[in-house]
Amino acid sequence: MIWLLEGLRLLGRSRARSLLLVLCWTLALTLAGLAGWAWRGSPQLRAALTRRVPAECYLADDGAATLAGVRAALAAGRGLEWAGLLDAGQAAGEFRAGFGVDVVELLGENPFPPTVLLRVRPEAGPAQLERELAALRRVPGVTGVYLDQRLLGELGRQLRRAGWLLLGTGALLALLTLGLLALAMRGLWREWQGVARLLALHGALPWQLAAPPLVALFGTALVAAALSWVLAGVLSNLMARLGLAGISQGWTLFVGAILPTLLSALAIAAQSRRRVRSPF
Amino acid sequence: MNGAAPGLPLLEARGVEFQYPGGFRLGPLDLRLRAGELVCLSGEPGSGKSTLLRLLAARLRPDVGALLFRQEPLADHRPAGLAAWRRRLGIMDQGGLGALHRSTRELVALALAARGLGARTRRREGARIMGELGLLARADLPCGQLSTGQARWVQLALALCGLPELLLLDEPLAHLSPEHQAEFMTTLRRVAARGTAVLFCRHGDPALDGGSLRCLRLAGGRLTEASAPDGGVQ
Repeated sequence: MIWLLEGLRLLGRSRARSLLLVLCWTLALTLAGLAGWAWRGSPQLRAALTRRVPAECYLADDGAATLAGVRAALAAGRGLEWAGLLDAGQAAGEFRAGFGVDVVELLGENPFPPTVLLRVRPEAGPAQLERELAALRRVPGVTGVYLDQRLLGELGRQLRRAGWLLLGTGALLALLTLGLLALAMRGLWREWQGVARLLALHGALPWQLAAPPLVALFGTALVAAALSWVLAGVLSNLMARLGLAGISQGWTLFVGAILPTLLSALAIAAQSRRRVRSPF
Repeated sequence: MNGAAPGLPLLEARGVEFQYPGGFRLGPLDLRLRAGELVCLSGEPGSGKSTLLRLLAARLRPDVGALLFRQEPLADHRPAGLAAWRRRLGIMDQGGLGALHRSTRELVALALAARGLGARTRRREGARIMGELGLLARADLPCGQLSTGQARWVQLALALCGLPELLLLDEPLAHLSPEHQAEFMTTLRRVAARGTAVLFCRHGDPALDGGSLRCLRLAGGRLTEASAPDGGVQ
């Protein structure tokens, strides 16, 4: 208990440093959240970056003969690969999850047929794909094949560029965050070092010496997690109100990066107000 | 308090040698300390007194030789092993207190917690130690506000936490007035009388009440017995 209280005392002793720690954590968690949101919420961006463009093959029925025909066509082509099989209900659920529209409720019936999910292999060329899609359409029981050709063309290239730009920005911000976290932790450790040295002489165990700074570190992380959660809610609401939540508008992700950048600027300002010497 | 077998040394250094890289060489030296013994280690500045205390506290590792505590060699130099060893010691460093913002009461509580004592015992023991050393009146002042001499008493309080079997004090009388030096020595005698072995070092010759102390002298990296009033064991 005394070590927990020491951690809190450590935070209380330097409010500027504690604020810096909270800001750094908020920045780190917001960045991680944004990265997760961008990855999960943009299937097109994900497909363009990984060059694993999704395709769907609609079936009249999901009988064994039809599925065997699809598998045989895929095995012959090598440009497309099997990613999964959805029955009609699952296909409707997938659409609802992806686009937020319950088509079954809207139409009063389920318009989705059983669907085989496919993926384009990254090495497949356009001509080869055309041939394989045509072969797949000729399989008995297949009613249609859908592939977003745009992801293989100019749109795909634009998305890839935007994606790399986003990744670069994210990596820079992450480096900045790590640097700030290291600075804040160095200050915190310096605060504790005098006492730690004394206690080490009197037989304190390594965990006892490490506990207070760790309590301070993870205590601020908890506060920052709550703060990031609120920020993420505000941000997503704001983007939805401004109509910027569209997944094809890659630049809208930069809007999400503005807030962390502002936070990091604040953190730098807070840091520059109080210089910290290295304890090492 | 200490159950050392009569006649057997509490701490023994056998043929200990240590050399700083490219610098001062200490030893080979032998040393035996018995429970309840009050020993003054004297020598000129740079003679190796602090180095010897650091070796005994396992803050430095001897190049050659062995340290034995109750006839058991000190072999575990991993952090947990060192911590276990230091819990049996009370160490007073030559440098001042590093924790200027903490009060004596807080530091004593932390030192007792480091030795694994619970909250109630910490309060009781803390009050006892601070009371014995006359620190209660200043117990809640930040250590940064204490004079260097007062800080020495706080360091002694920290060293006495957890009833150590051996006290290793580096220049404890520095920065103390003659009256306070005498008071400090009285306290050390009282501690030694309870069975704790006390080894402290100081500059120059052991002129301090030499008749009632066992005095050792360190010169040229070698240890010699300066006097052995009560049949010293060297």
